[in-house]
Amino acid sequence: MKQLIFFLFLSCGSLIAQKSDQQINWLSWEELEEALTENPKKTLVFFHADWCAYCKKIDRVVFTKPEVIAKVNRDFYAVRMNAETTDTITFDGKVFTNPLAKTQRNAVHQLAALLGSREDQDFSLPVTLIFDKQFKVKRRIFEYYTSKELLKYLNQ
Amino acid sequence: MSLNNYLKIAFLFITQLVLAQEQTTITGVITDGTTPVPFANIIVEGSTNGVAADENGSFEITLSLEEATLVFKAVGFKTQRKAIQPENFRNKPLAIELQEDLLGLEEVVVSATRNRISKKEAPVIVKVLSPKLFKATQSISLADGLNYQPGVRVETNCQNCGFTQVRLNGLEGQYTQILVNSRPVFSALNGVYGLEQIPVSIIDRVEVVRSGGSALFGSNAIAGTVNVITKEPVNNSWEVNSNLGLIDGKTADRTLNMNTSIVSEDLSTGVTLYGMYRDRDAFDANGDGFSEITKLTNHSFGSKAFYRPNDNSRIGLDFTAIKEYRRGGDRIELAPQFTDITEELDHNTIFTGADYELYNDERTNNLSVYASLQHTDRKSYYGGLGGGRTAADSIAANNAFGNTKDLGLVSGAKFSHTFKNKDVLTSGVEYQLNDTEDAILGYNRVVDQQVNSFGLYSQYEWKPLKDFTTLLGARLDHISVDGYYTIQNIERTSEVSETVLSPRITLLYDITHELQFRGGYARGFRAPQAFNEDLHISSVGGEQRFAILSDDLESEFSNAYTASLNLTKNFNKTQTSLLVEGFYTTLQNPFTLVSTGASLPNGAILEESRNGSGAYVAGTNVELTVSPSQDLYFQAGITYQKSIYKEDQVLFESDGTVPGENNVVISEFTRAPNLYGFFNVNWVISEAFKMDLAASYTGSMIAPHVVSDSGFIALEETPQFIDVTPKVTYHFDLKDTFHIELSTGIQNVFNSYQDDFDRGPLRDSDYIYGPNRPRTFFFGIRFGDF
Repeated sequence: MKQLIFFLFLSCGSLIAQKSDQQINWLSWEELEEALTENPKKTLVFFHADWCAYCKKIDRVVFTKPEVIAKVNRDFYAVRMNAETTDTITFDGKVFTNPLAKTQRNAVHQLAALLGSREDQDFSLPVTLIFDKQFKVKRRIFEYYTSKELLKYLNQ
Repeated sequence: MSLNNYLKIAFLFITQLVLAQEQTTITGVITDGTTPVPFANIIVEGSTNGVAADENGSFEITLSLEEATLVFKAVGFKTQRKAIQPENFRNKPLAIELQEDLLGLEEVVVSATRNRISKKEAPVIVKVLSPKLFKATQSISLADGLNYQPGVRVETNCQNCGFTQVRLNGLEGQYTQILVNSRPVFSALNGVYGLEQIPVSIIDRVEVVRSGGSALFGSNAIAGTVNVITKEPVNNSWEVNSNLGLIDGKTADRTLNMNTSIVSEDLSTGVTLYGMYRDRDAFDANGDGFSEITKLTNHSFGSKAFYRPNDNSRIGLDFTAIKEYRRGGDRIELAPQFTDITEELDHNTIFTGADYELYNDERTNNLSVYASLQHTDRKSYYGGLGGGRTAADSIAANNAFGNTKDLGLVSGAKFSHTFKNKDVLTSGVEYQLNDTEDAILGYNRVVDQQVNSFGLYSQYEWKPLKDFTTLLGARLDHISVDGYYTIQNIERTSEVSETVLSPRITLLYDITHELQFRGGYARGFRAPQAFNEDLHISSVGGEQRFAILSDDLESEFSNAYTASLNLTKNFNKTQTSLLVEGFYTTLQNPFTLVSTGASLPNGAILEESRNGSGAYVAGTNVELTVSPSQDLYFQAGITYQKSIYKEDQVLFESDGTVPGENNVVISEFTRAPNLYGFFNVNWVISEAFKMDLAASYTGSMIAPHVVSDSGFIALEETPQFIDVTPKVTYHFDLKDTFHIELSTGIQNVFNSYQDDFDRGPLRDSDYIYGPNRPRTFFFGIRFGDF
């Protein structure tokens, strides 16, 4: 019996360890800011929403591929944000909120609108941004991609 | 690295300044009335000049000195236009107030022009029924959910077999074309029971177009079209859904539904598999041992697969198999020939289809090619002892078995081109074949009919002015019918070969950005043939009632006119939309069933489909939608109409042998109430709880009722009905990939149901009207990753 419990503990432990290996290490914006000052790295930002089927597909199919996880965790800081969140986010000394959420459905958060808006098109999801070490935008992607395509973007 | 620097980089991405001579720069601020709307796009109409507002809603734009119209767009808000004289705003900021878009006016619809188009821009009024509404009413099949649109009414026409039909603007089911994914896959036979054979779980939405203006979908779409659009998956998902209904608290209606989708990572291939099982016991409302609601067992399963070889093309394949058993009458546990009345139908149907879509890189050209095939094998029993117990009754009862074979084929191609000025030209060809062979040897009844139709259509969407769109189109149909029909000693044929041109015109004028006018004219026609109702056999006086085409039946023509005003307006945060629509449809030579009484040698009633006197339907649909907040949605609609025969129409032709029974004539349509409507509210109480209330109202109408052995009918005035369904839903997640939804409610909570059904073996089984079920308690569970 004791052995069994011991074994269970072991396997739980290894499951947890395995899990953290199998996930992209998502940071909050606050954590990103801290990480960027300590050790500049490239950054991946992903905006999604509950209703966005393509975002869900990326979350479930692309961000779970071992080669994507390995690449992102090794070379990038990664932030995943619900574009419609009502949280107050502080980033680089600026406060971002979602004032529209008080009055409308599917209100886009200020930070998401700032980074994800396009000139002549409505805000659409998913939006993915890739920044270089200086936090300059290298690429903005406004559509679904496969893990192969994402790896190509990340390697550029 | 400072973000403020980065902000500038981001803005370089999204702003563009255009330089021109004699310019002025104006500033402004965009709010929703109280708070700033950040990052709206501001575009000068008719140019490429545009900027984006910052996070405080402020913007700065450089304009030339002439008057300019600025277009303001932001996610979740209605697009606003404002004409300004730039010099007036040199020293003061321009204040813009945007209105939210809560009513989903920007939804995308297909039916209006056969191309994807925003609902608000569609020249034809398209009403979209979402899965939300089907859920609110705990609908199991398409037939249950359609009542909640103005001008639409679903009715049950037979106590023995549960034949349902959908009436648009008061016109019978045969005047409505039912489409699946914009294709007319329903044959005349499927039209009899097909509405109950489409499970709700595979429906993405249903688009209803009332009245003319949609002739592009077929010359027989006189009352309108009901277009069922099935789901197109992106994610892998699965769902199991079960419902138990207790009709009148005692008769069980059990359903199990499941569906799953698998889509590859690159979205190039995918499949949806679905299945449904339904088992409903027969329900007897008045305790006479004869059913008012049919026993029904349905097994359906199917699949839809797609393959995209590249971004510009798509191949789709689908298969559906339906096995449906229905039986009504008495003593359902016995073999049909030992009962007084039985209608028993065993359908085996297979649908299959393939389609191919191709675009060019600019998406200005679109070609689609499709073909679908439907085959039904049906075993029927329409008969019984009819209350007698003689040897002759027994022989007759043993000879009432029948067989039906039905084949439907549709194939076509459509091409559309979008011109540089946004005008669109759509042209296509379509071929349809429908071959029906229905035989009941015991009655010497045969329906052997082949209908071939070949259609050519073309339509030009012309936008000569900014606020004005018109659709000019026409359809050329060549129809040939080769039909042979017998019942006992009567023999009829239909040989038709006819080419008809059906023009169509609709227009849309934006009077203001809040008020739109639409108008339309469409011509339609139907060639003489047996439609769904003519294939249906009911019982009365212990005998069967048959329908047959009369000799020298001529084609029926119709002219449909519509005009409507649509007002969308906001009062602070409350959004409202009001639609007032008038319709006027004239019918020339309408096919009308006239009873010739018990004129067949065995004493059965014969109804003849004849060219009736000219008729018209005219009326008004009013629909109001109000959304006071994001969690509350309210919709109501009412239809007031008249359905009039221009000259009195004979419904029963007396042979003069029974004293006191003369011809029965009528001046208005039977089974068409002058007033009917609906009401529904959806309320999201919290993330977990939802409440829905749906109600439909059916006004008084005239229902024919056979009251004598000779088949003589009385015209009964029916009472009015209010069918109210409250429902609560509780939702919780075990995991983000496992949701559970529990629901319960009561359909027809006030038990507003017909109370004067005929009793016993001699009853008139078509004498059924009003809501299709009495008070029914239901419990549902739905779980899965959806």
